[in-house]
Order: sequence, then structure tokens, then C-alpha cells
Amino acid sequence: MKKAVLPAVGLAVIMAFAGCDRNPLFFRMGSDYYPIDNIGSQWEYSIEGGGTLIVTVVDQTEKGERACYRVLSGADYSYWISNEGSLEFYEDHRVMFNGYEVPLYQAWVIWLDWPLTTGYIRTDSASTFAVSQGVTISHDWTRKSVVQGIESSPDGSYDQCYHIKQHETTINWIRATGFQPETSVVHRDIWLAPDVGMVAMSSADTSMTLVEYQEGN
Amino acid sequence: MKKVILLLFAAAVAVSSADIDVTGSVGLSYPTGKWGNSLNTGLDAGLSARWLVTRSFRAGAGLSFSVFGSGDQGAASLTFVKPRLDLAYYLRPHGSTFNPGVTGSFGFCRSSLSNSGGTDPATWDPFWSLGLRWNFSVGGGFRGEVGFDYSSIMAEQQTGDTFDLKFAFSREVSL
Repeated sequence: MKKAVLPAVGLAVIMAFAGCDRNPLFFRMGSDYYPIDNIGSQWEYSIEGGGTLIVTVVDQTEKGERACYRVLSGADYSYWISNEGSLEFYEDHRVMFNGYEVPLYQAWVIWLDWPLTTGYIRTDSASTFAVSQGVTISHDWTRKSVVQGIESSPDGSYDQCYHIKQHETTINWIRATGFQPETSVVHRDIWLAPDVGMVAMSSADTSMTLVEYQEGN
Repeated sequence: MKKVILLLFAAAVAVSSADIDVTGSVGLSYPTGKWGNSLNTGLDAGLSARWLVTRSFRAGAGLSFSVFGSGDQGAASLTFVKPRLDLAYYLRPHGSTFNPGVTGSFGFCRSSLSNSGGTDPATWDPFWSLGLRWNFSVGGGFRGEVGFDYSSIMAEQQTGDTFDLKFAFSREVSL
């Protein structure tokens, strides 16, 4: 009977684990939280206060010597690369000075690393300058993304969303007499749903919610 | 149901001889399915003790650990801890060079995912695995074993399946 004690205890321990917490970790790991790599995919957002925003994956193109997806968001294009381990965004920072558009910072920067986890933190920054019309313009930029947790979307339509808080600070300084540093700070709350992407976003200026998503080819 | 399983298992062990084989194993684990898209091949290590119910049939318990790294030079890691019950049947238990066998396991898996300072809530899910083995003598009372398993973690909404290559050393001991 002694021989039976050890396996019996082992089995009892294993059975005890049956009562432990379960959550769909593998579902989240297998989901695409920013499906930007299907040409023709379209997201229609309702903007609080009126209006809609249509976001469409237009085509594949080349930007910064890399193949990427071109996305039309309202009237603006943005550029994305979807890797298995990360999502990259083409940062294109410009400033208007004396009627001229001055490019300050252009680079591919990782937007998020996959898989996301609760408490994930990513910080990116750049410090650069440009000379235009004999004047130096300095540019400091920082973006911090923190995953707050796994939630339902604010309107309750999607489960297993990652809620991301993003803080972006930009300081542009025209180094000439009479100019002071111009600082802009943006705080965003973003909800990403599995196999859908961004389903809600809110900031001080705007708040929008996904009303329709059509997957492309 | 739990009590029935417990009693059946205890009875099976009680009527057997006191011989057990202690097995240490290492291996490679390949995720199958989308859940492993951003992960590398995993490393696996385990330890088990199996009673020789007969020379061919063995039953016991074990514990294994697996770790998967990020597939894109990232910081992600996924770990499994699997307490389990093992069953095995060998066709030629005295074969010195060729002793094929089939193995099966079931138990629970604790899966924990971390990335860039964050950790998702761990999940405990039942899992099963089935595999084939080629068991052989390596001298000095030790036996070697190579083979593969197909394993499935029955998590909520989506299973976590892996294909595992196994390399093991074992030794029979009498209690």
C-alpha cells in the first residue's frame, strides 16, 4: 500500500490544479491585434461629437528603403510594417517654418512588440535637429506605451482587448531670437481587439469607436 | 470522478512490483498553430518516475518545464510547467537495441507569458500528449530513449499544440 501513496499524492496534487485560474492565453497569442497586412481591410470609426473616420489598407509600397503597407486614414497616409514579432510605424515628423515644411525626423520605429502582455512597456525617443534658412530647429520626441490590462472594449463589443496608454511628447525649438520651445503632449487610450485591431481610441481632443470592420484579402 | 480515478490508479500501482524507472529527458518543442508565430523553438526538460506494472506497461508521474523565447530578437518568453501522469507501453522491453514504445500523458499545464516588463495572468489548463519512443540500452544499467510527442494544451477558446522531440536517459531501480 505504501507504493500507492506517492502516485496517489501526485494525482491529488494534479487534481487540485484543476481549480486554478484559466484564461484564453493561447487565443490572445494566436490573434493578430493589429491586422495591417491585408490589403483592402477597412475600419470605420464613429467620432464622438459627429463624423466618421475611414481607415483603409491601400497597398504595399516602399518607404525608407523597406517594403511596407500604406494606410489611408482620413486624408493622411501612414506606413506600417507587420513582422511576426513586432509592428513598425514610419515616423515622419515635420514642422512648418516661414512657409516651408521642414523634415525633422524620419525613421522606422517599433510601435508595439508581439505578443502583448499586461504591464508591457515600450519607450522610444529621438533627439535631432534640422537647419532651414540658416536657422537651427531642434526636435525632441518621446513616446511611451504601457499595456494597462486585458479588458472589454469601452462599448462592450469586443472581449480580450489590450488597453494601451500612450504618452507622446514633442518639443520643437526654433533656435532664433524671439522663439521659445513649443511642447505638445498627447495622451491616448487605445483598445486593440483580437483579429480586429484598434476598436476604440480616446485622447483629450477626440474619442472614436469602431462601428464596422471589413477584412481585406 | 476524481476519487474513482485516484482509486484505479492506486490499485494499479499496488498490485505491481516495486520496480520503477526514473527518467530524465530534454527536448525541443515546436509550436504548431498561430499562437507560436512570434516565438522560437522551445527547450524542454523533465523528470518522471514510472512503476513497472508489467515489463511492458509502465505508469507513473512526472514534471516538465518548457521555455520559449521571442522569435524576433524580442524580449518575450513563454514558460510551461506540467505536472502529469504518464503511461507507456513497450513492445520489446528486454530489447537491447530496439525497444519501440508508445507513451501518453495527461495532466495540467501552467502557462505564463512575459514580454518587455509585462506578464499576462498565468493560466492552468489540462493537457494531453501522445508519442512514440525508440528505447535502447546504453550500458551500465542505463537506457536511452529518443522519440517525439504531439501535445495539446486545452486552453480556453484555443488549444496550444506543440510537436516535441524527446531525448531521455532512464534507469530502473527497485524500492
